[in-house]
Formats: sequence, C-alpha cells, structure tokens
Amino acid sequence: MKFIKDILFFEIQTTGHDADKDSIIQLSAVLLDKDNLLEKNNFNTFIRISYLDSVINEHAKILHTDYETLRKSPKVYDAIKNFHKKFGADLLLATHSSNNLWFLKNAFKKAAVTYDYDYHVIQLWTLGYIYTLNYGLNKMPTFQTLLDYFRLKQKNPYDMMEKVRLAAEIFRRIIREV
Amino acid sequence: MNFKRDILLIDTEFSGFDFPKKHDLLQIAAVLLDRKTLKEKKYFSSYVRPNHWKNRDRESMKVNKISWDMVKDAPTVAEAVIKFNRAFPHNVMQAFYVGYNDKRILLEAYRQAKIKWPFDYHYFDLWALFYGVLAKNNQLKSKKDFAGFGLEYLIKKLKIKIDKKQMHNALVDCRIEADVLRKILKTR
Repeated sequence: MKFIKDILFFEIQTTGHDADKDSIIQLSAVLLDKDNLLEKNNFNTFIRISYLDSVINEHAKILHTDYETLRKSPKVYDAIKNFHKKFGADLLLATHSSNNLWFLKNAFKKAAVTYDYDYHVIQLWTLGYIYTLNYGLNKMPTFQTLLDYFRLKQKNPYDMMEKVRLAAEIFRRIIREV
Repeated sequence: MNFKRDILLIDTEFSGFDFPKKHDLLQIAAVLLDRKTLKEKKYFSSYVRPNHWKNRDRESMKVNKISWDMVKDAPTVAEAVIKFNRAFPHNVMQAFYVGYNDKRILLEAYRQAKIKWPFDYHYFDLWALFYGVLAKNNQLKSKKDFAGFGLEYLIKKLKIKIDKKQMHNALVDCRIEADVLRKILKTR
C-alpha cells in the first residue's frame, strides 16, 4: 500500500459532548509514516482552560490526573500552537469520530491559530463499520467493539495517548487485512 | 454485502460555513438506498430561501452555482427541514461524502426548525471508505488531489456518466456518490 501523505491520528478528552460549548482538556496524536504506517512522531498534552481551582479540580477528575499536573499544563493557545508547529499541515488528519474534528477546529478558533489542514479527514468509525459488517458483526461498532474484534487491550480508558495509538493500530489492521 | 439499515445519503449546499450567523443553507437533498441492493428507493430535494444572501461567500457560490432565482421562492429553513424530516424513516444509516460540514449544518437547521434530531448520531463517511479501499489497492494516484483521489477522479476511473454542468447540485451529487459507492463495493 502507498499513501500520499503522512497520517496524523488524534484523540481528545473533553469536558462534554457539545463542540460549541465544551472544551478539549487533553489532546493526543500520533503521526504515521506514509510508507509503512509506523509511528514517526507523537504529541500529548493536558490543556488547562481555567485559572479557577474548582474548575481545574473538576477537569483533573475527568482526566484521572491530579490538580497540580493540570494546573501546570498549557493553555489552549499554547497547546494548539505547539500541536500545529510540531506537525505542520501537510498531512492527512484521522480520528475515530467526526465530532472530534469539530472540537479541534473550535480549539484552533479559540487559540486564534489558523486551521489550515485539508478538509478530507479519515473517519475510523466508517472503516471499522464496513470492516466488521463484512465479517458479519451485527451491531453498530463502538471503539470497544473494534478493540475486542482485533483483540487489543486498553489498559486505561482515560488515557488519550493510549487510545490514539490503539486507533492507529486498528487502522493498520483494517488496511492490511481488508 | 448487506448493510444493517437502509442508507440515507445526504448532501447540502450552503452560501458559506458560518451558518446560521452569517451564511445560509441553500439546498438539502438525499437519496434513500436499499440496504441490500443499494438501489434508490426514494429521494428528496429542496432549495432553501436564504436570510443573508448579500453575505454569500464567493468561493462557495462558485461551487454550488445557485442563483437568487433558484432560491427566492423556496421554503424557509424550518419548512424545508420539516419536509425533509417527514420524507424518510429515521432508522436509517446516514451517509455523507466528507460530511462533517453537511452534518453540522443539518444539525443546526434542525435546531432552527425546533425539531429534535431523530437519527442515530453515527454517520457513514463515504470518502473515508473510498480512501481505505483505494489505499489498500495502491490506487491513491491522483496528483491533483491532496489525499491521492477526489470524487472527480473516481467518476473518471469508474467510468460513471455525468453531466458536468449539473455537478454540485446536491441531488445530482447524492446520485453520483451512490453510483460510486455501488461500484466501489462491487469492485473492492
């Protein structure tokens, strides 16, 4: 197989489900090499979106981390600027669900960083759906369904870095085995 | 391959991405495909009367080729959404081609019409499926397209007959995408 662009898989932890009202509090990504789909770079950060102790505490609970770690984490502007600077935009974005993309776009907006990625994005859910359908799985696949199907173990469901690596592995297997 | 549900392939045209504040939804179209045969069972198409015509984005309008005459007497967003909502069953699999903008605009249009979103929150992205199949078969070869292929490249490659002047009419696009889906799944 040959890809034209490297693929940047990303996953996020958020404060809720509404991309217009809620925020990203963890952003994790792995860059896959276009020639072999192996990980060639990665990014992982918590994002502090408030100075208020109560809010930091609340978000630390969602992330299953401690107050101090989150308090010292970058603000959205720095996180997004670093993310963009690290990988550039000459790549193809990929993520499990398209809702993640709206959160990312809104985070770029909040950070006043130009979102200059190509508008095509690999939605892993679609590939997982068609793949499991082909093998007779009779339900809407969740991320967990795909993990079970490929016998992949998730040690910590709150760790987005682990999740994005698993998403990349699911992608590799679907592409190789389809 | 049998899908679990019929597929509702949806496309929209809009005057820019800042809907509803600055831009408008201008057309909603959809075709319902049978889950086993992928044959078209039903279709819907409606233009939508804009509220911010003077704000229309030049680039978007160059793509959709919609003129004032086509939309001036069309239903409002709420009226069009009510009709669309009644046109199809809701236990379908929605599908879009690079759909996150269409999906978001459609969700907002439902909000404007004060209708609760009746479909499952999952949707099928045809572009992602085509990308996976072409990647597997080493066919990401279009140098013109960022990711190695685009809809026009597929239309040519799969020898699908189209009227180029009609492309980007939302209903025509739905039918072209349905044709590509049938051929890709057959040749995969």
